[in-house]
Amino acid sequence: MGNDLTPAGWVLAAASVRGRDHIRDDAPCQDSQGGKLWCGPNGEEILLAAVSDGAGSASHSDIGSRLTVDTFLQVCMRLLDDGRAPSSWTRSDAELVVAAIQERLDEEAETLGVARRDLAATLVGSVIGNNGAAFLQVGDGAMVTPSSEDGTWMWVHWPRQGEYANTTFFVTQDTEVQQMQFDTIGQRVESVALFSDGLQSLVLKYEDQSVHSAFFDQMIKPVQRSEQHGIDIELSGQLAAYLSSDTIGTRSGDDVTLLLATRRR
Amino acid sequence: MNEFEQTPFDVSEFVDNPEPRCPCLLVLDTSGSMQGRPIQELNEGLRTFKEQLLNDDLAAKRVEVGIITFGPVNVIQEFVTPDVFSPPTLATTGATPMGEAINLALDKVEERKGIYRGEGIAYYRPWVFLITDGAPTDSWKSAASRVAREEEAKALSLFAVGVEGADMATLGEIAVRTPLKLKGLDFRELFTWLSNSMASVSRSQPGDEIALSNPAAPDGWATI
Repeated sequence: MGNDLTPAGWVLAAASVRGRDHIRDDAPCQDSQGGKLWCGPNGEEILLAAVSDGAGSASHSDIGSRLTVDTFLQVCMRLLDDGRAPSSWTRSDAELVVAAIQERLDEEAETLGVARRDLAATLVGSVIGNNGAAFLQVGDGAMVTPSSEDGTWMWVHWPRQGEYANTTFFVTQDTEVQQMQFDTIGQRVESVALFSDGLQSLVLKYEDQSVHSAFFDQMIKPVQRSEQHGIDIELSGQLAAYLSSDTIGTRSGDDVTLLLATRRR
Repeated sequence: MNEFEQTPFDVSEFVDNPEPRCPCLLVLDTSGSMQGRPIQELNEGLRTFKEQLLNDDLAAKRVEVGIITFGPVNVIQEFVTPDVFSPPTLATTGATPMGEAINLALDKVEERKGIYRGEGIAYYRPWVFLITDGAPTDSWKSAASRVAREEEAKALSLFAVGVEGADMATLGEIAVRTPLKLKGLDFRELFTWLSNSMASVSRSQPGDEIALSNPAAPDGWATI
């Protein structure tokens, strides 16, 4: 249906599922994800996508991760409304986004009568325009995109961990502590996958810091075949079922989130 | 025996097993007063430790055991995974140079972290597990302040366990955590607990609170 005048836009499938350890402990799913499409005056359709993993040790991190994703999407839409292409964003724009998230979390913490750290969550976020993109990350999880040369999936930022394998960084921490990673590129991105740390050890190769490309080649195919525009609800349901299945579920006790997006053909 | 395999610079182990590591350094008192049943039960406990670690799939790949004895101070076992760990039969000897042993333990932990970092291996906060039935016979104050500094920096966690006859007050000045007193010679329970605790640490995810069972509970192996 796409022609030269109406860009084809994006299709997404996304799901967060509770990890088996969380089911056993009767804990909520602390991961959240969300995607939005922003339409520019010239018909350009920009993809906004985010994944957040609430800290297991924080009492209200399920709420924290939800608000982190929602606020990220809202604030980035506002930056786009100001006519700023994502590839022209700077680190200080990214810092504003994180500051807005912290402000929102502080409000919520006050309402709940808890501390900001009780809402601790990570953030992995992408804003992808026609010919460039901005990527922002605090903590672990990752975003991967296929390279424009041979389609091999590559990570944008390697998951940021603390010194120890069971420590990471959260948006709730002070800016100088949280080690935010931010990058822009001036190239067209065809597809993107964002995921939380529950999936990370299965799809990233630690020995040479690369991506299990075949996994994402397989996962993106049904999304490419989708006839939907925007979020494909039915496909997202199938994705949730797959992430809960033995293939993934028994290999990760943690919550698992995967958001897949590709440009419509 | 190829001596090179014993050096800390042989890193082929990380190629075969790139899992994150959870180092646990045992610092064991083998001074004269441990002679007889105490050392026998301790040796038995070390065998239990290996068995229990091998029972847990993740711990078997991730926990690394090292052993330093005192005195005199000796590195009996460099850090190895449970499958390679061969529990030694320790014999008792002379004095109780605890300060020197702790200093060496902190050096070994730092050295091991450097190797992990060099090889790109993720790791958990190391545990140093000190077991003694006596009082230091050397100067221990500088070791104690180093422990305090490194605990403050979250560089490691040190646990001190006193066997019957131990100078619990001095142990309390060395360790930041309250030292535990072993009930009788229940080393087997102690090492079962240690194995379970290391298993919990080795499967923990970022942001997790690690729940350890309380060793000083009524059915535990220790009193405070």
